[in-house]
Amino acid sequence: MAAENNVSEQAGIPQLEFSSFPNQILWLVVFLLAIFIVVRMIALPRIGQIVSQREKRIKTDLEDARKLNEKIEGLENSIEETLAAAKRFSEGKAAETRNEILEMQNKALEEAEVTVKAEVAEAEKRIEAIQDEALTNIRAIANEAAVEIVNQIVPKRGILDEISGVVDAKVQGKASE
Amino acid sequence: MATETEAQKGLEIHPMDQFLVTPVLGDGPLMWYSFSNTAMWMAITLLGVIIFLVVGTRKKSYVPDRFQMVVELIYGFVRNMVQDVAGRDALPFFPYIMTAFMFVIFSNVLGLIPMSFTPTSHIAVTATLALTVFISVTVIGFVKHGLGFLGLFWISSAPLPLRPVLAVIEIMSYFVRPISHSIRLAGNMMAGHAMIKVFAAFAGVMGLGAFVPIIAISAVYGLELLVAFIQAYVFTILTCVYLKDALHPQH
Repeated sequence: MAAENNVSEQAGIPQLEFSSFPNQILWLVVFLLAIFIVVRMIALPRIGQIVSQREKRIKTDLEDARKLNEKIEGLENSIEETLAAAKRFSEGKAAETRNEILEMQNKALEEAEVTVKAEVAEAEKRIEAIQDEALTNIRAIANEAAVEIVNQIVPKRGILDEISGVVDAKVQGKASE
Repeated sequence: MATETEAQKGLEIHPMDQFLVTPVLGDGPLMWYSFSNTAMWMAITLLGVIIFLVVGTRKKSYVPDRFQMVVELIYGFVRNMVQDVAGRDALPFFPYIMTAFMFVIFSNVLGLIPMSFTPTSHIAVTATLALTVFISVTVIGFVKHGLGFLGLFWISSAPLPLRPVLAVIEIMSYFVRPISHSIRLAGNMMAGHAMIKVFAAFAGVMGLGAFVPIIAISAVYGLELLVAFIQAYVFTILTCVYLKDALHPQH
């Protein structure tokens, strides 16, 4: 208790106790130098190295990213050019094919026209032959029929030739119509 | 029995006892070389600085963990302060300013631990720091600019008749710098600690009503934590301002 009171009596303002100054200044100098050595020799070089390496890494990464971006842009341009060339090529090819098809179509149409005309001519010839044949047959049948009818009605020999001539003339006239 | 004794004695508060510089080893009187409580807490401050700066950066990670991030934050904060306030040509002095900042902030914050000791609450310590800054910047000023450093006191932008008067005021203000620089820090640290001790003494004799001073102690403690950081910042930024004057004395 006595010691406690003694301390309190000593207290006053301890900051103004000049007898303690040398002690405080001595230890301040010692530990401040120690802190300075830690800061100067170890901490700051290490932190500076970490920070500068990080900045360098960030710079390198950004540079790489910029280069890759440029490369991508080049590739995009190249792709666009290739696409444009392919489009031009395909358009040319399509036009060429269309022309070829048109030519083939025209040619086929011409050939078909020629064939059709030949077939029509052939058919007309055949029709004409058939008509001729039919007319010939009709005249004979008509002659026979007329002669038979007349024979049934008038059984006279001379008239038959006359009838046949009339029938021929009639059939001839029908055919020419 | 003890309570009766307390009541008989009344309220005895000794808020300044916590600032007594006493030897830690041995019972003898305090000698200039004694390992005192100041020395012990400066050693703890050194240990704290080593743990913070060296252990915090041991991984040297590109992507820092929380600890390393705080260390880098403080590093960047002080470095930018030196560069912004004193200019790029002050960066060679960055290690000295970082040392002062780390010492002051760790002393201030460690001093808030109950039963601890705050070296920066002593004028001997802060005055030594401030005088070191004062003498250093004055020497730097004269080494860099010779007698041109005296241009710091000659305000060429002021009207000619006023310049001698202003020069006297500037010289006085220049020599007052170490005093204000040191008393500001020591005073702030001492006042807060003394106030906490006074409230703590109230709490000891108020019985159930002790919650009032305890709340006050908690509030003041929060304020003191803020003051500890702010005073470290103020001490460092003023050092940078003085360094700027030494490096660029022209008005």
